[in-house]
Parts: sequence; C-alpha cells; structure tokens
Amino acid sequence: MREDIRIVGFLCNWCSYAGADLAGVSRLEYPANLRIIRVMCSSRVDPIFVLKAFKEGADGVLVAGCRLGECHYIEGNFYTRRRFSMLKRILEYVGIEKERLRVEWISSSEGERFRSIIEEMTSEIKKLGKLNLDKYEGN
Amino acid sequence: MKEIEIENELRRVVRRLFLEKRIDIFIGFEDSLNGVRPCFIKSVDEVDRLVWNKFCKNNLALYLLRFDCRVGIVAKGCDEGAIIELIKENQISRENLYIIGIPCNGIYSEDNKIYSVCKTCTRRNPLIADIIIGELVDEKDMTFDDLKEIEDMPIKDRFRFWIREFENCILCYACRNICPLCYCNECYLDRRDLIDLRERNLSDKIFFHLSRAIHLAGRCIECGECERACPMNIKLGKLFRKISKEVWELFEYKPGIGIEDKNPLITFDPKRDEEL
Repeated sequence: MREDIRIVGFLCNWCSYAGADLAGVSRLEYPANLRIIRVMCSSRVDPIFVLKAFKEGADGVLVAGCRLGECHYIEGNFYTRRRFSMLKRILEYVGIEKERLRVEWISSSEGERFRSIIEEMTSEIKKLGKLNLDKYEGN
Repeated sequence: MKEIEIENELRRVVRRLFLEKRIDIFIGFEDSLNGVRPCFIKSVDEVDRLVWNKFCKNNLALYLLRFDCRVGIVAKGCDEGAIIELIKENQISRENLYIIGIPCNGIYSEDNKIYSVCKTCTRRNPLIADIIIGELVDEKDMTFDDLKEIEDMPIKDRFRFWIREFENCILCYACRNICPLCYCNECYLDRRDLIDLRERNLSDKIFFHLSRAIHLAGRCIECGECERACPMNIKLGKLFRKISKEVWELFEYKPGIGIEDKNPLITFDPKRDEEL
C-alpha cells in the first residue's frame, strides 16, 4: 500500500509549465507529490484524461493553463474553464470532493505562486485522504 | 384524440407519403409479444403494421443513422429532441427527413407505470415536425426537485450511494448502444486499455459512467433510454438529469430545442463565464 498521496498535474506548455520551470530554477521547494504532464494547451486536456487519472490511482488532479486572455492559442483556456466547471459538479454529485480537481491559471513568471498552489493543494488533499475507486471499504 | 384515432391517422399519413413517393422507409412501432417494438416499413402494403399507444417507449432517432435515404419517422418530444441534436451535429440532414410529431403525455412500462423521466419531462410537444397528429398538451414547468434527495446527502453518503449503483454495472454497454447521441463509430469506451472487460474493476465502471456523463453534457435530451435498457436497473436517469440541471444552471441551455442553438461546452462567453 502506497503511503503518500499522488497528484497529477496537466500543465500548459506556454505558461504553467514554464512557471513550474521557474519554480525549479529559483530553487523553490514544493511537495514531491505532483507528477507533471506537459500538454500544449490546457484545452488539450479532455475531461476523460482527468477521469482516467482518478481511475489509475491519482488522489488529485491539477489542470493549469495561461491566465485568461493570455492563452497562446488566444482562446483555449476559456473552453477549459467551461469544461472543468462542468466536470467538477459531476464529480461532486457522485461523491468525489471537488477539491480533488483543481483548475488554475498560472503565468510563466509565477514560480512562487505555483509553489504555494501545490503546497496548498497537497495539504488539502492529504486532509481528504486517498481516493480509492477500485475498492470501496466503507459501509 | 384517442390513441386509436391517432393510430389510424398515422397510418393514413404514412400511406399517403409512400404513395406520393416522398419517403423510402418509415420508422415506427409494431406490435410484439410484450408490448411494442420498433419496425421499419418499406412499402405501402406494410403500413397496417404500424401502431401507436402509450407503450411506445423506444427513442427511434437511434435508427436514423442507419439509413442513407429519405426517411419518415414518428416522433415523441424526446425523439424529436434527439433528432434536433443529430441535425446540429451534422449526422443527418433535415431535407431527407419527414417527421410526424405526436404530442406525448408520458409513456408507460409494460406493467402500466409511467417512467420516471416522463414525470419531469418538459419537452412534450413537437417543435420541428412536418405534421402533428393529436392535440398539443400542456408543458410542465422545469423542476429539478427530484434530485434533492441525492443532493442533500452528505458527500460520503452520496459516494456510497453511487458506488452501490455503479458496482452493479456489468459493463454490458447497453446504455451506450441504446443512446441516440452515442453514435461515434470509434468510441474510446471500446479501448481495452481503458476498460478491462476481464477484470471488471469498480474503477472501470465508475470511469465508464462518468465519462459518458461528461460526453453527453449539453447533449443529453433525457429520453431515459439508458435507464430502460440497463439490465441491472442502475439509476442512470438520476445521473443524467443532474447533467441537464447543471447545464441549465450554468449556461441556461436546454438541448433538443433550437436547431441554431450551440452546445455551451463547445463555445464560451468571457463575460458570463466569470463566475465559473
């Protein structure tokens, strides 16, 4: 049984990934629970990706893109926003806490903010505990 | 108008359509051992097979994608909603279609109980039909009170409730196959790396239903076919009604009404989305 929680992060190539990079080169420390997947745009992230991540054992998912209006592809993250506000509500309805899915807009100059978001998210999800969809142990 | 009068009028109209050579095939209902079943009428001599009654539950829009000719179809409100969505998604063309609309007061199961989706239906009258048979019925106000019971549960209980539902799923795919809007030739649910049919894990079942739900957001017209098709009686109606509720509350959009309307999830509006 794994000890620590796992968070999957889908970061957009142009802003959030560069932001994470900046956090790295500035030697900021953040919890190692995050596994980053780089995508070209946050609107590339199909809600199915998120559901698959939960299915494969992620306890939390972060979808991050450029700040609204600053998308490299002009309007990509506006679609992201609609899609994931929908998905969040569906997850909550079936009893998966909506804090487990987080959508953030992080620009490439916000290394510090990236770090604090990851810290906040990790501690929040630690409080919620692990999400095990394969075996339901409650009654 | 009584059911039998509607039935006679339906036969008369279809006979005329065939004689005037306006359609090549007609999709309707015929009698079967237990109730009615969909049937495909190909010539004028077969028209007397057609029936119409309150047990005509199937959503016939499902069969439209099979034909590449001029098709006539008898449609209740929900069937017509599905037809509108299919036209919007460029799956069928309106010109090749002759719609006979019948206002609907709800349909009944074989043991004479009204289906639960029909109780909350707000799409009873035809909107784009070429001809309407029967008198229009009163539309009900839109309400989502039936979801209150689940929504008010604490989140842990809600999780337990849905796990109890989903763990019954046998991954038979009946709900996907019956859905008139699940028409993709290549469906990601057929990918065996996503859903393992040998293991049939609980997580696969949850994934199956949630991903179908998100795919049908803004498209589901609440015909209730998935719930009827389910051999394990999973309360899919309650899941998909929640989708409709959220689409309505977030975007004030109801699918299956206007041919020009755009699905809110394939568009955006920076101003009104600010509160999302």
